[in-house]
Amino acid sequence: MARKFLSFCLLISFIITLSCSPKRKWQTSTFIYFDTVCQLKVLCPPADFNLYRRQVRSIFSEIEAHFSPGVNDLTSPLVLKLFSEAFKIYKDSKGDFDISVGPLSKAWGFLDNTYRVPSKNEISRILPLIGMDKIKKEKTKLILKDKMKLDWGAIAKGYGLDLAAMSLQEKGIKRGFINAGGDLFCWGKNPENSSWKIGVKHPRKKGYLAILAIKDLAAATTGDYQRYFEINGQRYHHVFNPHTGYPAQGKQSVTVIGPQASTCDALATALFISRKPEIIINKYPDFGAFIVYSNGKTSLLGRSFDIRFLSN
Amino acid sequence: MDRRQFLKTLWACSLVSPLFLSFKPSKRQAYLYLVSDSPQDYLHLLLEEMRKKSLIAGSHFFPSNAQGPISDIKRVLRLKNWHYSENPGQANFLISFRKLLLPVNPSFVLINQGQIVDIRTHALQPLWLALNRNSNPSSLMTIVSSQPKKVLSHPGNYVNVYLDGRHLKKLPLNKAITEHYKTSRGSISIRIDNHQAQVIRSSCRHQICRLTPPISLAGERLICAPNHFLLEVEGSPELDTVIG
Repeated sequence: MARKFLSFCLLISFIITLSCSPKRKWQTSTFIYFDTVCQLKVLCPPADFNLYRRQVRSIFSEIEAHFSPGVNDLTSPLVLKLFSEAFKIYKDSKGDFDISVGPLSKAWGFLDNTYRVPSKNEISRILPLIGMDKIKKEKTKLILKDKMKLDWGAIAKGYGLDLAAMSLQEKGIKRGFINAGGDLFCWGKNPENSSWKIGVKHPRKKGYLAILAIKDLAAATTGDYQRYFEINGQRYHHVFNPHTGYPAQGKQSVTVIGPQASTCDALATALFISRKPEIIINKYPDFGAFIVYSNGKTSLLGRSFDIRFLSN
Repeated sequence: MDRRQFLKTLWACSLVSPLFLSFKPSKRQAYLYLVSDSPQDYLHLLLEEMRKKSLIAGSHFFPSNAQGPISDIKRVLRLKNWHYSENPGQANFLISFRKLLLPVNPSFVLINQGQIVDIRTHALQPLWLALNRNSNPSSLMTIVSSQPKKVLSHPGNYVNVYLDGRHLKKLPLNKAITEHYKTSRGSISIRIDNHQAQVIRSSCRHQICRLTPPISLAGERLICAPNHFLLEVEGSPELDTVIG
C-alpha cells in the first residue's frame, strides 16, 4: 500500500513539475558585430532570453577584442588556439588560406576604408611579408617578423559562432541559429519541426542562388560582392590571393557547409582563392561546398547536402 | 525484388543512413530513385520513360553533388541527347547521389506528387529484369528530381526597421512613405515606393547602403553598418534566414 502511495505521489509531483516548467517560445534578437548584422534565434523560456543574448554578445565582444584588425594580440590562449586551427588549413590549402595577409589588406585600404590600388612595386615589397610558415609559434606567444600583420577576418567570425553556439547548447538550448552575415550555425529543428531553410544570396542577381536545408551544421559564404571597391569599372574585392598580392580571380562566391563554422569560414576563403578547390575539400570529408565561377557556372564539391538551386 | 520489397529496403536503409533521413522529398516534385553502382547503364532509359510521362520537361540536367560517377553519366547522357547544364537554375532536373550505409539489391522506383508511379512499362521490362538478375548488392543511390517550377524569390509585404539591434517599426511595402531616423552616429533616411524600400540618404562615409539596390523580396536585407541600421523585408515562411 505504502509503495502504491509513494508511486502516486511521485506521479503527481512529476505532473506538477511538468506543468510548472516555463513555456519555451521562439525568441529573436539582432545586433551588430564584425561590421555586420548578427541574428540570434533560439527556443527558450522568454524570461531567460536576455541572459542568452548577453552571453552571445559577450562572446562576440571577446572575439572582436582579440581578433579585430586594429588589435595586435599575439599571446592570449584564444589567439594561440585559433592560430593552430588556421595553420592546419594553411597547410592543407598549400598557402591559399593565409591569415598573414594583413599587410595586403592594409595596402589595399580595406583596414581603414581608404580603398586604393597599390603599385606593382609596393605589392612585390609586401609579398615577402606574407606566409604563415614565417610565423614562429611558441608555448605562450606568436612571433611575427618585422612588419608582418595578421588578418583574422577569414576565420574569427566563424570561430565566434562556434563558441557562441556551443555555450548556448551547454546551457540547454536545443534549437536555434546564430547568423553573422555570411556565416551561420544552426542546431536542432526549425519552428516548423524541420531542417533550417537557409537562403544563400545570389552573388550577382537580386534574390537567392540556392536554399539549404540543414541542421546541426554551419555554413559560410565568401564572395567578391561582400566588400569591394571599383576603379574604372574594375572590381577590387577583399579576398586576396597570398601568392600574387591581388584579389583572387575566377569566382564570384563560395559557400561551404560542415560541422564547424570556423572551418567553413576558412575553407570558403581557401576554395575561393584556390585553382584546385576539389583537392582542398577532399581533405575535409565532413564538408561540402558550392562554387559560382566568374562565368556564372556553378559546381558542387565534397560531401553532399540538401541544396535546392533556384531558377533566376 | 518487387516494389514493396524495394520500399522496405529503402526504409531499412534510411534507419541507418542519416543522409537519407534528412532528405525529404517535396510533394511538388517527381523523384526517381535508382539503386545501382553503375547508374550510367540504366539512367537514360528511365529518363526517357519519365519524359514520355511528362514527369520531366526539357533535357537539361545538373549533377547536384559529386558522390557518383558524374563523368560517366555526363558521357552516356550526352550520347542520348540529354544536355549537361552549367547553371543549376536553368536545368530541368537535378541528379544527386547518396551513399547507402548498407548495400542493397539494385532497383528503382518513381515518386510523383508523393505517389508511387508504375513505370515498369513494356519498354522497361528488360531493364527491370536485368536489375533483378544482377544480384550484386549496390550501395549507391541515384536520385533524379525535377526542378520546382516555382521561383522562391517572391515579393514581401512588409519591411522591418531595426536600429542598434532593436526593432523600431514595421512598414507596409504597398504604401509610399519617406522616413528619417536619427542614429547614435548620424542619420539615415529611407523611402518606400513602388513596393520596394531603399536608403535615400545616409550620414555614413562610404554610402554603401545608399548605393545598394532597393529591396523588395522576402528575406532581403539592406544594411548600414556604420549607423547600426537594418531594413529587412519580412521573411518568407519558406526561409528561416539568409546568408551571403
